Amino acid sequence: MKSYGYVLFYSTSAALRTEKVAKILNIPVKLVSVPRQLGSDCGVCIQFDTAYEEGIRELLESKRIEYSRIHI
Amino acid sequence: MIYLDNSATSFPKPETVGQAMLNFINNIGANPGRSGHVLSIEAAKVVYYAREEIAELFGVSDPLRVVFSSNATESINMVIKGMCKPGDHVLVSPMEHNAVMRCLENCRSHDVSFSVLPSNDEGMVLVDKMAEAILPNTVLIIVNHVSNVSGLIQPIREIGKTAKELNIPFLIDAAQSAGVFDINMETDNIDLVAFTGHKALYGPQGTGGLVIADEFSHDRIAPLKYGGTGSKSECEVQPSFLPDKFESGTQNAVGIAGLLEGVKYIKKIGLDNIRAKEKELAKRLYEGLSSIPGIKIYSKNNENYASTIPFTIDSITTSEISDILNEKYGVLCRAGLHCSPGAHSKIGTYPDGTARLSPGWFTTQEEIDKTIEAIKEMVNGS
Ligand SMILES: Cc1ncc(COP(=O)(O)O)c(C=O)c1O
Repeated sequence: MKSYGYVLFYSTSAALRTEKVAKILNIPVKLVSVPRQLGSDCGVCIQFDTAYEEGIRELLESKRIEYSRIHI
Repeated sequence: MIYLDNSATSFPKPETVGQAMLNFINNIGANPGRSGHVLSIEAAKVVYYAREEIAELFGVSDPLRVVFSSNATESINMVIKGMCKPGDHVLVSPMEHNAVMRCLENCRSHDVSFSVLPSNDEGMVLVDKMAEAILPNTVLIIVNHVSNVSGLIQPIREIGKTAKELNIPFLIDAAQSAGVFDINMETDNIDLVAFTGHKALYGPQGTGGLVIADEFSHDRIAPLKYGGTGSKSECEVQPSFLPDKFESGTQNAVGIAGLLEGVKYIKKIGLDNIRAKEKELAKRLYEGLSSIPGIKIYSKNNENYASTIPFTIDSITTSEISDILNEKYGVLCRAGLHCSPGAHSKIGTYPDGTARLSPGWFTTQEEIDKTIEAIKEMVNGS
Protein backbone atom coordinates (compact mmCIF):
# COMPACT_ATOMS: atom_id res chain seq x y z
CA MET A 1 0.00 0.00 0.00
CA LYS A 2 1.20 3.49 -0.80
CA SER A 3 1.94 5.83 2.04
CA TYR A 4 1.96 9.57 1.56
CA GLY A 5 4.09 12.36 2.82
CA TYR A 6 3.30 16.06 2.71
CA VAL A 7 5.35 19.19 2.15
CA LEU A 8 3.82 22.20 3.83
CA PHE A 9 4.65 25.65 2.58
CA TYR A 10 4.33 29.21 3.77
CA SER A 11 3.05 30.33 0.41
CA THR A 12 0.98 28.92 -2.44
CA SER A 13 3.57 30.20 -4.92
CA ALA A 14 6.18 27.89 -3.42
CA ALA A 15 3.76 24.95 -3.53
CA LEU A 16 3.02 25.63 -7.19
CA ARG A 17 6.70 25.87 -7.99
CA THR A 18 7.37 22.55 -6.26
CA GLU A 19 4.54 20.90 -8.19
CA LYS A 20 5.93 22.19 -11.47
CA VAL A 21 9.54 21.18 -10.81
CA ALA A 22 8.47 17.74 -9.56
CA LYS A 23 6.57 17.16 -12.79
CA ILE A 24 9.65 18.05 -14.82
CA LEU A 25 11.71 15.62 -12.73
CA ASN A 26 9.07 12.91 -13.06
CA ILE A 27 8.34 12.80 -9.35
CA PRO A 28 4.63 12.13 -8.95
CA VAL A 29 3.08 14.73 -6.66
CA LYS A 30 -0.33 16.20 -6.08
CA LEU A 31 -1.37 19.64 -4.95
CA VAL A 32 -3.93 19.06 -2.18
CA SER A 33 -5.54 20.97 0.65
CA VAL A 34 -3.55 20.71 3.85
CA PRO A 35 -4.93 17.70 5.78
CA ARG A 36 -6.75 19.04 8.81
CA GLN A 37 -4.52 17.31 11.34
CA LEU A 38 -1.46 19.04 9.89
CA GLY A 39 -2.87 22.52 10.40
CA SER A 40 -2.84 25.23 7.81
CA ASP A 41 -0.06 27.40 6.53
CA CYS A 42 -1.14 28.49 3.10
CA GLY A 43 -4.07 26.17 2.51
CA VAL A 44 -2.44 23.90 -0.02
CA CYS A 45 0.42 21.45 0.21
CA ILE A 46 2.21 18.88 -1.89
CA GLN A 47 1.34 15.24 -1.37
CA PHE A 48 3.98 12.71 -2.42
CA ASP A 49 4.54 8.99 -2.32
CA THR A 50 7.01 8.37 0.52
CA ALA A 51 9.07 6.28 -1.89
CA TYR A 52 10.08 9.62 -3.40
CA GLU A 53 10.99 11.33 -0.14
CA GLU A 54 14.65 11.68 -1.00
CA GLY A 55 13.86 13.11 -4.44
CA ILE A 56 11.50 15.63 -2.88
CA ARG A 57 14.05 16.73 -0.31
CA GLU A 58 16.70 17.09 -2.98
CA LEU A 59 14.36 19.11 -5.14
CA LEU A 60 13.50 21.53 -2.35
CA GLU A 61 17.17 21.88 -1.49
CA SER A 62 18.53 22.32 -5.01
CA LYS A 63 15.84 24.77 -6.09
CA ARG A 64 16.08 26.61 -2.76
CA ILE A 65 12.34 26.47 -2.28
CA GLU A 66 11.16 27.85 1.04
CA TYR A 67 8.91 25.36 2.86
CA SER A 68 7.64 25.11 6.36
CA ARG A 69 8.02 21.37 7.02
CA ILE A 70 7.80 17.88 5.64
CA HIS A 71 5.37 15.52 7.26
CA ILE A 72 5.82 11.79 6.78
CA MET B 1 -7.56 56.46 -36.20
CA ILE B 2 -3.84 55.78 -36.30
CA TYR B 3 -2.36 54.99 -32.92
CA LEU B 4 1.32 55.94 -32.74
CA ASP B 5 1.71 56.29 -28.99
CA ASN B 6 2.93 52.82 -28.11
CA SER B 7 5.75 54.22 -25.99
CA ALA B 8 3.09 55.57 -23.63
CA THR B 9 1.12 52.33 -23.66
CA SER B 10 0.57 49.72 -26.34
CA PHE B 11 -2.72 49.69 -28.18
CA PRO B 12 -4.45 47.62 -29.34
CA LYS B 13 -3.67 44.54 -27.25
CA PRO B 14 -3.78 40.97 -28.52
CA GLU B 15 -7.38 39.70 -28.27
CA THR B 16 -6.38 36.98 -25.82
CA VAL B 17 -5.41 39.62 -23.25
CA GLY B 18 -8.92 40.96 -22.79
CA GLN B 19 -10.41 37.48 -23.08
CA ALA B 20 -8.23 36.15 -20.27
CA MET B 21 -9.18 39.08 -18.04
CA LEU B 22 -12.86 38.58 -18.72
CA ASN B 23 -12.51 34.88 -18.05
CA PHE B 24 -10.72 35.59 -14.78
CA ILE B 25 -13.31 38.08 -13.58
CA ASN B 26 -16.26 35.89 -14.60
CA ASN B 27 -15.02 32.39 -13.90
CA ILE B 28 -12.07 32.42 -11.50
CA GLY B 29 -12.35 35.58 -9.47
CA ALA B 30 -10.88 34.31 -6.21
CA ASN B 31 -7.98 35.71 -4.21
CA PRO B 32 -4.74 33.99 -5.28
CA GLY B 33 -2.90 32.18 -2.53
CA ARG B 34 -5.23 33.26 0.22
CA SER B 35 -7.37 30.16 0.60
CA GLY B 36 -7.16 26.45 -0.11
CA HIS B 37 -10.27 26.17 -2.26
CA VAL B 38 -10.30 25.35 -5.91
CA LEU B 39 -10.87 28.89 -7.18
CA SER B 40 -8.14 30.38 -5.02
CA ILE B 41 -5.73 27.76 -6.33
CA GLU B 42 -6.88 28.43 -9.89
CA ALA B 43 -6.17 32.13 -9.34
CA ALA B 44 -2.79 31.36 -7.79
CA LYS B 45 -1.92 29.22 -10.79
CA VAL B 46 -2.64 32.03 -13.21
CA VAL B 47 -0.35 34.33 -11.24
CA TYR B 48 2.28 31.62 -10.96
CA TYR B 49 2.25 30.88 -14.71
CA ALA B 50 2.75 34.58 -15.34
CA ARG B 51 5.79 34.46 -13.05
CA GLU B 52 7.15 31.52 -15.03
CA GLU B 53 6.72 33.22 -18.38
CA ILE B 54 8.31 36.43 -17.14
CA ALA B 55 11.20 34.65 -15.40
CA GLU B 56 11.96 32.86 -18.66
CA LEU B 57 11.72 36.09 -20.62
CA PHE B 58 14.45 37.66 -18.47
CA GLY B 59 16.67 34.58 -18.12
CA VAL B 60 15.90 33.88 -14.48
CA SER B 61 15.51 30.25 -13.41
CA ASP B 62 13.38 30.74 -10.28
CA PRO B 63 9.89 32.14 -11.07
CA LEU B 64 9.47 33.19 -7.43
CA ARG B 65 12.03 35.90 -8.10
CA VAL B 66 9.43 37.70 -10.19
CA VAL B 67 7.70 40.15 -7.87
CA PHE B 68 4.53 41.78 -9.15
CA SER B 69 3.79 45.45 -8.61
CA SER B 70 1.51 47.96 -10.27
CA ASN B 71 4.07 49.27 -12.78
CA ALA B 72 7.71 50.09 -13.47
CA THR B 73 7.46 53.17 -11.28
CA GLU B 74 6.53 51.17 -8.20
CA SER B 75 9.29 48.64 -8.89
CA ILE B 76 11.89 51.39 -9.24
CA ASN B 77 10.68 52.92 -5.98
CA MET B 78 10.94 49.50 -4.34
CA VAL B 79 14.60 49.24 -5.24
CA ILE B 80 15.70 52.81 -4.54
CA LYS B 81 13.75 53.21 -1.30
CA GLY B 82 14.47 49.66 -0.23
CA MET B 83 18.21 49.72 -0.81
CA CYS B 84 19.50 53.21 -0.23
CA LYS B 85 20.42 54.28 3.27
CA PRO B 86 21.53 57.69 4.49
CA GLY B 87 24.97 58.44 3.10
CA ASP B 88 24.54 56.20 0.04
CA HIS B 89 25.14 57.31 -3.54
CA VAL B 90 23.45 56.21 -6.77
CA LEU B 91 24.68 56.50 -10.37
CA VAL B 92 22.19 56.97 -13.20
CA SER B 93 22.27 57.39 -16.96
CA PRO B 94 21.44 60.85 -18.33
CA MET B 95 18.31 59.41 -19.98
CA GLU B 96 16.29 58.50 -16.89
CA HIS B 97 12.53 58.85 -16.59
CA ASN B 98 10.96 60.71 -13.67
CA ALA B 99 10.16 57.30 -12.22
CA VAL B 100 13.82 57.25 -11.25
CA MET B 101 14.60 60.96 -10.95
CA ARG B 102 11.73 61.99 -8.71
CA CYS B 103 12.34 59.06 -6.45
CA LEU B 104 16.02 60.00 -6.16
CA GLU B 105 15.18 63.67 -5.66
CA ASN B 106 12.87 62.66 -2.85
CA CYS B 107 15.61 60.53 -1.28
CA ARG B 108 17.90 63.54 -1.05
CA SER B 109 16.06 64.46 2.13
CA HIS B 110 17.19 61.10 3.55
CA ASP B 111 20.78 61.99 2.69
CA VAL B 112 20.94 59.81 -0.43
CA SER B 113 22.87 61.46 -3.26
CA PHE B 114 23.15 60.70 -6.93
CA SER B 115 25.14 61.68 -9.99
CA VAL B 116 25.03 61.03 -13.71
CA LEU B 117 27.25 58.54 -15.53
CA PRO B 118 29.59 59.89 -18.23
CA SER B 119 27.91 59.75 -21.63
CA ASN B 120 28.27 60.88 -25.24
CA ASP B 121 26.17 63.63 -26.85
CA GLU B 122 23.32 61.25 -27.53
CA GLY B 123 23.18 60.18 -23.90
CA MET B 124 24.81 56.80 -24.34
CA VAL B 125 26.74 55.73 -21.27
CA LEU B 126 30.50 55.60 -21.82
CA VAL B 127 31.28 52.22 -20.35
CA ASP B 128 35.04 52.70 -20.22
CA LYS B 129 34.56 55.86 -18.13
CA MET B 130 32.14 54.27 -15.66
CA ALA B 131 34.75 53.38 -13.09
CA GLU B 132 35.75 57.05 -12.75
CA ALA B 133 32.22 57.96 -11.67
CA ILE B 134 32.05 55.42 -8.87
CA LEU B 135 32.31 56.83 -5.35
CA PRO B 136 33.21 54.83 -2.25
CA ASN B 137 29.54 55.05 -1.20
CA THR B 138 27.97 54.13 -4.55
CA VAL B 139 25.45 51.36 -3.89
CA LEU B 140 23.43 51.20 -7.09
CA ILE B 141 23.64 51.90 -10.82
CA ILE B 142 20.37 52.59 -12.67
CA VAL B 143 20.08 52.69 -16.43
CA ASN B 144 17.04 53.21 -18.61
CA HIS B 145 17.56 50.46 -21.20
CA VAL B 146 15.67 52.15 -24.04
CA SER B 147 14.91 55.85 -23.91
CA ASN B 148 11.26 56.82 -24.03
CA VAL B 149 12.43 60.19 -25.37
CA SER B 150 14.79 59.31 -28.22
CA GLY B 151 14.67 55.52 -28.44
CA LEU B 152 18.39 55.33 -27.63
CA ILE B 153 19.43 51.82 -26.61
CA GLN B 154 21.99 51.63 -23.79
CA PRO B 155 24.75 49.00 -23.93
CA ILE B 156 23.36 47.12 -20.92
CA ARG B 157 25.56 44.06 -21.45
CA GLU B 158 28.75 46.10 -21.25
CA ILE B 159 27.41 48.20 -18.39
CA GLY B 160 26.40 45.02 -16.55
CA LYS B 161 29.82 43.48 -17.01
CA THR B 162 31.53 46.60 -15.68
CA ALA B 163 29.07 46.97 -12.79
CA LYS B 164 29.83 43.40 -11.84
CA GLU B 165 33.57 44.01 -11.95
CA LEU B 166 33.03 47.06 -9.76
CA ASN B 167 30.76 44.98 -7.52
CA ILE B 168 27.87 47.44 -7.62
CA PRO B 169 24.24 46.29 -8.00
CA PHE B 170 22.77 47.13 -11.39
CA LEU B 171 19.09 47.97 -11.98
CA ILE B 172 17.67 48.47 -15.43
CA ASP B 173 14.47 50.29 -16.20
CA ALA B 174 13.03 48.02 -18.87
CA ALA B 175 9.74 49.92 -19.24
CA GLN B 176 10.37 50.54 -22.93
CA SER B 177 12.53 47.55 -23.77
CA ALA B 178 10.91 44.49 -22.18
CA GLY B 179 9.16 42.57 -24.92
CA VAL B 180 11.23 44.05 -27.76
CA PHE B 181 14.86 43.63 -26.76
CA ASP B 182 16.55 40.54 -25.37
CA ILE B 183 17.36 40.82 -21.70
CA ASN B 184 19.12 37.94 -20.01
CA MET B 185 19.83 38.85 -16.42
CA GLU B 186 22.32 36.05 -15.99
CA THR B 187 24.50 36.53 -19.06
CA ASP B 188 24.04 40.31 -19.08
CA ASN B 189 24.95 40.61 -15.37
CA ILE B 190 21.82 42.51 -14.44
CA ASP B 191 20.81 42.26 -10.80
CA LEU B 192 17.39 43.87 -10.99
CA VAL B 193 14.90 44.54 -13.77
CA ALA B 194 11.95 46.90 -13.31
CA PHE B 195 9.32 46.28 -15.98
CA THR B 196 5.87 47.54 -16.75
CA GLY B 197 3.15 45.30 -18.18
CA HIS B 198 1.23 47.73 -20.35
CA LYS B 199 3.78 48.67 -22.97
CA ALA B 200 5.66 46.15 -25.12
CA LEU B 201 4.53 43.20 -23.00
CA TYR B 202 1.00 43.98 -24.23
CA GLY B 203 -0.62 43.48 -20.83
CA PRO B 204 -3.12 45.83 -19.19
CA GLN B 205 -2.30 49.00 -17.29
CA GLY B 206 -1.67 48.52 -13.60
CA THR B 207 0.64 45.54 -14.05
CA GLY B 208 4.39 45.38 -13.76
CA GLY B 209 7.08 44.01 -11.55
CA LEU B 210 10.58 43.66 -10.31
CA VAL B 211 12.71 40.69 -11.31
CA ILE B 212 15.53 39.78 -8.96
CA ALA B 213 18.47 37.85 -10.42
CA ASP B 214 19.00 34.30 -9.15
CA GLU B 215 22.24 35.23 -7.44
CA PHE B 216 21.24 38.65 -6.07
CA SER B 217 20.54 38.66 -2.35
CA HIS B 218 17.15 40.26 -1.76
CA ASP B 219 18.18 40.81 1.86
CA ARG B 220 19.70 44.00 0.49
CA ILE B 221 16.23 45.38 -0.27
CA ALA B 222 13.74 46.23 2.45
CA PRO B 223 10.06 46.08 1.42
CA LEU B 224 8.29 49.27 0.47
CA LYS B 225 4.96 47.94 1.74
CA TYR B 226 4.08 45.72 4.65
CA GLY B 227 0.92 43.70 5.13
CA GLY B 228 -1.00 40.56 4.40
CA THR B 229 0.38 38.05 1.95
CA GLY B 230 -1.76 34.98 2.60
CA SER B 231 1.36 33.25 3.89
CA LYS B 232 2.44 32.85 7.53
CA SER B 233 -0.77 34.45 8.70
CA GLU B 234 -0.01 33.56 12.32
CA CYS B 235 2.97 35.87 12.20
CA GLU B 236 2.78 39.64 12.50
CA VAL B 237 6.24 40.08 11.05
CA GLN B 238 6.64 40.49 7.27
CA PRO B 239 7.71 37.22 5.56
CA SER B 240 11.33 37.22 4.40
CA PHE B 241 10.87 34.98 1.35
CA LEU B 242 10.11 35.82 -2.26
CA PRO B 243 7.83 36.95 -3.69
CA ASP B 244 5.68 37.50 -0.58
CA LYS B 245 8.20 39.78 1.08
CA PHE B 246 7.46 42.43 -1.56
CA GLU B 247 3.84 41.58 -2.41
CA SER B 248 1.72 42.76 0.49
CA GLY B 249 -1.94 43.23 -0.24
CA THR B 250 -4.16 41.52 -2.78
CA GLN B 251 -2.50 41.38 -6.17
CA ASN B 252 -3.99 42.61 -9.43
CA ALA B 253 -4.72 39.05 -10.51
CA VAL B 254 -7.15 40.13 -13.24
CA GLY B 255 -4.43 42.29 -14.73
CA ILE B 256 -1.82 39.57 -14.32
CA ALA B 257 -4.12 37.14 -16.16
CA GLY B 258 -4.05 39.59 -19.05
CA LEU B 259 -0.32 40.17 -18.76
CA LEU B 260 0.28 36.41 -18.95
CA GLU B 261 -1.45 36.34 -22.33
CA GLY B 262 0.45 39.40 -23.52
CA VAL B 263 3.77 37.76 -22.69
CA LYS B 264 2.72 34.48 -24.30
CA TYR B 265 1.74 36.43 -27.41
CA ILE B 266 5.07 38.21 -27.85
CA LYS B 267 6.96 34.98 -27.24
CA LYS B 268 4.90 33.24 -29.88
CA ILE B 269 5.75 35.92 -32.42
CA GLY B 270 9.34 36.15 -31.28
CA LEU B 271 11.12 39.23 -29.99
CA ASP B 272 13.41 39.30 -33.02
CA ASN B 273 10.40 39.42 -35.35
CA ILE B 274 8.79 42.19 -33.32
CA ARG B 275 12.02 44.14 -33.27
CA ALA B 276 12.55 43.71 -37.01
CA LYS B 277 9.03 44.83 -37.87
CA GLU B 278 9.09 47.85 -35.58
CA LYS B 279 12.51 48.85 -36.86
CA GLU B 280 11.29 48.60 -40.44
CA LEU B 281 8.30 50.82 -39.63
CA ALA B 282 10.54 53.30 -37.84
CA LYS B 283 12.95 53.36 -40.77
CA ARG B 284 10.08 54.12 -43.16
CA LEU B 285 8.84 56.86 -40.88
CA TYR B 286 12.31 58.27 -40.41
CA GLU B 287 13.03 58.37 -44.13
CA GLY B 288 9.62 59.80 -44.95
CA LEU B 289 9.91 62.55 -42.36
CA SER B 290 13.53 63.37 -43.20
CA SER B 291 12.55 64.68 -46.61
CA ILE B 292 10.13 67.25 -45.16
CA PRO B 293 11.63 70.73 -44.99
CA GLY B 294 11.80 72.35 -41.55
CA ILE B 295 11.54 69.08 -39.66
CA LYS B 296 14.16 67.94 -37.18
CA ILE B 297 14.36 64.36 -35.94
CA TYR B 298 16.11 63.56 -32.67
CA SER B 299 16.72 59.85 -33.13
CA LYS B 300 18.97 58.15 -35.63
CA ASN B 301 18.24 55.56 -38.21
CA ASN B 302 20.82 53.09 -36.92
CA GLU B 303 21.15 50.06 -34.65
CA ASN B 304 21.61 52.22 -31.54
CA TYR B 305 17.98 53.31 -31.66
CA ALA B 306 14.64 51.60 -31.10
CA SER B 307 11.50 52.56 -33.03
CA THR B 308 10.61 55.78 -31.21
CA ILE B 309 10.75 58.87 -33.46
CA PRO B 310 10.87 62.28 -31.72
CA PHE B 311 10.70 65.33 -33.95
CA THR B 312 10.02 69.06 -34.07
CA ILE B 313 8.91 71.35 -36.87
CA ASP B 314 10.32 74.88 -37.16
CA SER B 315 7.02 76.64 -37.74
CA ILE B 316 4.70 74.65 -35.42
CA THR B 317 4.97 74.03 -31.68
CA THR B 318 5.01 70.43 -30.48
CA SER B 319 1.64 70.70 -28.77
CA GLU B 320 0.15 72.10 -31.98
CA ILE B 321 1.65 69.22 -33.91
CA SER B 322 -0.06 66.65 -31.74
CA ASP B 323 -3.34 68.59 -31.70
CA ILE B 324 -3.46 68.97 -35.47
CA LEU B 325 -2.45 65.35 -36.05
CA ASN B 326 -5.15 64.26 -33.66
CA GLU B 327 -7.99 66.49 -34.79
CA LYS B 328 -7.38 66.72 -38.51
CA TYR B 329 -5.74 63.39 -39.33
CA GLY B 330 -6.66 61.04 -36.50
CA VAL B 331 -2.99 60.36 -35.76
CA LEU B 332 -2.43 59.90 -32.05
CA CYS B 333 0.98 60.76 -30.62
CA ARG B 334 2.43 62.39 -27.54
CA ALA B 335 4.01 65.83 -27.41
CA GLY B 336 6.03 67.47 -24.66
CA LEU B 337 8.65 66.23 -22.26
CA HIS B 338 7.47 62.64 -21.76
CA CYS B 339 8.13 62.67 -18.00
CA SER B 340 11.82 63.02 -18.74
CA PRO B 341 13.14 66.59 -18.54
CA GLY B 342 16.71 65.41 -18.01
CA ALA B 343 16.71 63.24 -21.12
CA HIS B 344 15.28 66.12 -23.16
CA SER B 345 18.00 68.41 -21.82
CA LYS B 346 20.59 65.88 -22.86
CA ILE B 347 19.40 65.77 -26.46
CA GLY B 348 18.80 69.52 -26.60
CA THR B 349 15.01 69.58 -26.67
CA TYR B 350 14.32 71.03 -23.22
CA PRO B 351 12.04 72.87 -22.38
CA ASP B 352 9.95 72.71 -25.57
CA GLY B 353 10.07 68.95 -25.90
CA THR B 354 9.22 67.04 -29.05
CA ALA B 355 6.35 65.31 -30.75
CA ARG B 356 6.89 61.59 -30.46
CA LEU B 357 5.69 58.91 -32.84
CA SER B 358 5.99 55.36 -31.57
CA PRO B 359 4.82 52.47 -33.73
CA GLY B 360 4.10 49.07 -32.21
CA TRP B 361 3.62 45.51 -33.34
CA PHE B 362 0.12 46.22 -34.64
CA THR B 363 1.08 49.32 -36.64
CA THR B 364 0.91 48.89 -40.42
CA GLN B 365 3.02 50.32 -43.24
CA GLU B 366 -0.07 51.98 -44.60
CA GLU B 367 -0.58 53.82 -41.32
CA ILE B 368 3.03 55.00 -41.44
CA ASP B 369 2.59 56.25 -45.00
CA LYS B 370 -0.62 58.10 -44.09
CA THR B 371 1.14 59.69 -41.14
CA ILE B 372 3.99 60.90 -43.32
CA GLU B 373 1.49 62.38 -45.78
CA ALA B 374 -0.40 64.05 -42.93
CA ILE B 375 2.75 65.67 -41.59
CA LYS B 376 3.77 66.82 -45.07
CA GLU B 377 0.38 68.42 -45.58
CA MET B 378 0.50 70.00 -42.14
CA VAL B 379 3.91 71.55 -42.82
CA ASN B 380 2.83 72.81 -46.25
CA GLY B 381 -0.28 74.36 -44.78
CA SER B 382 1.49 76.14 -41.95
C1 LIG C 1 11.64 54.67 -19.48
C2 LIG C 1 10.41 54.62 -18.65
N1 LIG C 1 10.50 54.36 -17.34
C3 LIG C 1 9.42 54.27 -16.55
C4 LIG C 1 8.16 54.47 -17.06
C5 LIG C 1 7.01 54.38 -16.13
O1 LIG C 1 6.17 53.34 -16.46
P1 LIG C 1 4.84 53.17 -15.59
O2 LIG C 1 4.08 54.46 -15.77
O3 LIG C 1 4.14 52.00 -16.21
O4 LIG C 1 5.26 52.94 -14.21
C6 LIG C 1 8.00 54.76 -18.42
C7 LIG C 1 6.68 54.98 -19.03
O5 LIG C 1 6.03 55.96 -18.93
C8 LIG C 1 9.15 54.84 -19.23
O6 LIG C 1 9.07 55.12 -20.51
